[in-house]
Amino acid sequence: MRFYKSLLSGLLLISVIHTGSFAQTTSCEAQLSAATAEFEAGRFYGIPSMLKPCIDNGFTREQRQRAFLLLTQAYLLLDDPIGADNSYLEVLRANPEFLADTARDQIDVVYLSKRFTASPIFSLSGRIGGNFSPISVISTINSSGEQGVDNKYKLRFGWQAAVGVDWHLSERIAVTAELNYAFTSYRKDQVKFNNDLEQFTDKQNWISVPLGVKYSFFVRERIRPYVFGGYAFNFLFSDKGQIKIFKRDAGEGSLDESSPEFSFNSYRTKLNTSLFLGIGAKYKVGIDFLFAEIRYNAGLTNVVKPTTTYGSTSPAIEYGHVDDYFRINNFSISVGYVKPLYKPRKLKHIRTKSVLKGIKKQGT
Amino acid sequence: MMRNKLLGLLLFALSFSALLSCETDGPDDYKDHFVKYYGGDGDQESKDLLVNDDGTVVMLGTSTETTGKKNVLVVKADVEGKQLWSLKLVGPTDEMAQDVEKISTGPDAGNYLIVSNAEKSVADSLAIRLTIVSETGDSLKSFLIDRYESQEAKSITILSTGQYYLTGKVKNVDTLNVELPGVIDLEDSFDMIIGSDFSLVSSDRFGKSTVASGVKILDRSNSINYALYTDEFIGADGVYESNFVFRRYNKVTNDKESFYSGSPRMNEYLADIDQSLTGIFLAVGTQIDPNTKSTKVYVTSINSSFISVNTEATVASPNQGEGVATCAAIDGNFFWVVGNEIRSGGLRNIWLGKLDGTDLSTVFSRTFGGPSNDDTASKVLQLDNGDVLILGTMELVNQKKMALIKIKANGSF
Repeated sequence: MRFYKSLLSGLLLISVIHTGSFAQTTSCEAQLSAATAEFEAGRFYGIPSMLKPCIDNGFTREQRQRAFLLLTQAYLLLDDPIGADNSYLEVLRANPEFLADTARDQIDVVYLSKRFTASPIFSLSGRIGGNFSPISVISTINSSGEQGVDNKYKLRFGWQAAVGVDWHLSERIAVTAELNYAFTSYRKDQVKFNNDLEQFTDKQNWISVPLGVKYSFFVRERIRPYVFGGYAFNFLFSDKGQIKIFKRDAGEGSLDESSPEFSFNSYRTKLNTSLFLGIGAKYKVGIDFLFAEIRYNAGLTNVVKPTTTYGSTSPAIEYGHVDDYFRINNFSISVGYVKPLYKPRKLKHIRTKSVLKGIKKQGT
Repeated sequence: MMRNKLLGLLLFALSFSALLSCETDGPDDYKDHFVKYYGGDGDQESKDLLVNDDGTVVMLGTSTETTGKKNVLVVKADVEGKQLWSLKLVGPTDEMAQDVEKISTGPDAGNYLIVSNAEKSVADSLAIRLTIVSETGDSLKSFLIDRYESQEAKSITILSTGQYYLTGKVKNVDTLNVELPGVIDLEDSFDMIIGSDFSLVSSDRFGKSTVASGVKILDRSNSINYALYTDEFIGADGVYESNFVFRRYNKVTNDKESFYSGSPRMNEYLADIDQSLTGIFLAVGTQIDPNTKSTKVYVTSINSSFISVNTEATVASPNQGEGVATCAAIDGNFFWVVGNEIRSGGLRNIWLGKLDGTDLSTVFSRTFGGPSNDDTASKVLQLDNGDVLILGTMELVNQKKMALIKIKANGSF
């Protein structure tokens, strides 16, 4: 029996090759319609050869899906499981998110589909966007000994770009890792010495490695929201600051001085950590996705090296500037692109309970 | 399913440990050791510092207002350097802060005595104002001392009798020298005893040559030890050049002994003197080479009887510097010295050194200051816990502020 099936498949294949020239003269859509008509008429043997030219060169991705689904059905009816398997794999290659449906497809196809998946094991992504960094003060430290010193932190905008990889543990759950570059900035305004204003602008460059988990909703819809969270290692590789002093004495105009922008690297903790949470949504474009997300990083580390607050020639001595102890948080909005690395393959463990459930549901 | 459960467990453990690692409180070192600035509009220059028994400090300085008027500024701060109160003593004319002492006996015990030099109506002439300020920062009363044509106080000493011993210099309006014809007499040294009611009890003025100024009077059980500088001929020195001069008045016998310290052909100007726990004294000042104008920190160790110099030397580093103040260290024979390191271009950094009172070697030193700023020292004190307080004036780009620096005994913050 097995021998005959293989022989049949071989004949079909030869037939496909032999009639290749025919398809080139007919439009592929018409050819697909003709093949469908042949199928509906119960003439299965000629279908592969009818479709072969367009499969080789001419079908759109959607047409390939329909063509191979037709072939899958034909092979199933011809009792050729190898051909059916191969054809269904091609269906998944054409549309990795194809799911057989009991309402639409033959029950044999639905059962067959349960033996396959094209879900990606890994997805690659890239994103870019803007951010701002709220400051969480751990300890307020004033260089002025007087009372009533007023400190205010102001938000400044930065930007970030990242590449990442998702390791899909299931359709909904993925472990994520990224390599992220971020430029962040904030400004501290301090009023002291009877209304003098010190403006400190800090600009930071970070390389971060966020590690997290992502949970997706509506995994069959065109728009798929998701939530994510995790832990990030943030390497502060460059920190530059500028101090502006506006001496505003009563009865006199403001006497303004500005420092050059100089390195604060030696006053900063290099390796910082943070927890992050975010929400986003993916929008399906072809077999890939565009996405947008917002993310909040809660800094866990004191960015300031406590031992460097004061020193012989520190900013405290030269400009009267002292950093508070603080953690730096970050709120970012990004847009990006996800390229799932689909891998159509046979499953090791087959679950067919959902088929029966689907049939029952249809019955009601 | 098992994999997801394991993942969930791992996530929970990671989140929990991450939350635990969140730094919600930094080390408190910044409260114990710091640099703090004081002042308001205009510029403020420091002059003197004292520490109260409770660890609070009183700082004295001169505030130059935006109008150019100079007033005396008194600031009290707690052990963390937080200002408790400040008081500006506004006189009718320019007034420069000089000295602050805590009054321990008499009707004003517990209050602070502020010494300042006030401009008189005659150009380039000064009177001395003594002001009593309460512990809470109220100005209670003040007295003007105008004994000579122009007197400038250097320091005041509260005597065990409750009287005040004031010293400084008198600036001569007429520089013609009666005692030494041909030698210009710019200034003389003076000392005055002021009663506890601030009446003038006695005064003395001396000085034949060009410069002379009393610097400090130390009241000891058997003697009054008087430190000054003058360019009078002393010993075998045949040139009018300034030296440190020390005089000991025996309270019992009324005998007077004098000795001096200084290098031939060099001018030494005394700035401060203190006594160590072991009894020896250290005098600090500046040595200036009249030819090269080279300026060095100059120190002299004096024996505990205050009758002779043990050793004297210039401090090797800074190469160019000014000695400003000293205080006894809490460990044996050592002294803390502050001065100014003079850099190329004339800008200065605050210099701190710890000197061995026996051989005057520097066992430790460091500087404080911005590369583009002129920063100067005024006073150094060591606390019982070993911490060192330095009062100075820091130039912060576009203004000068009184600065209190508190460091550990090893020089670190």
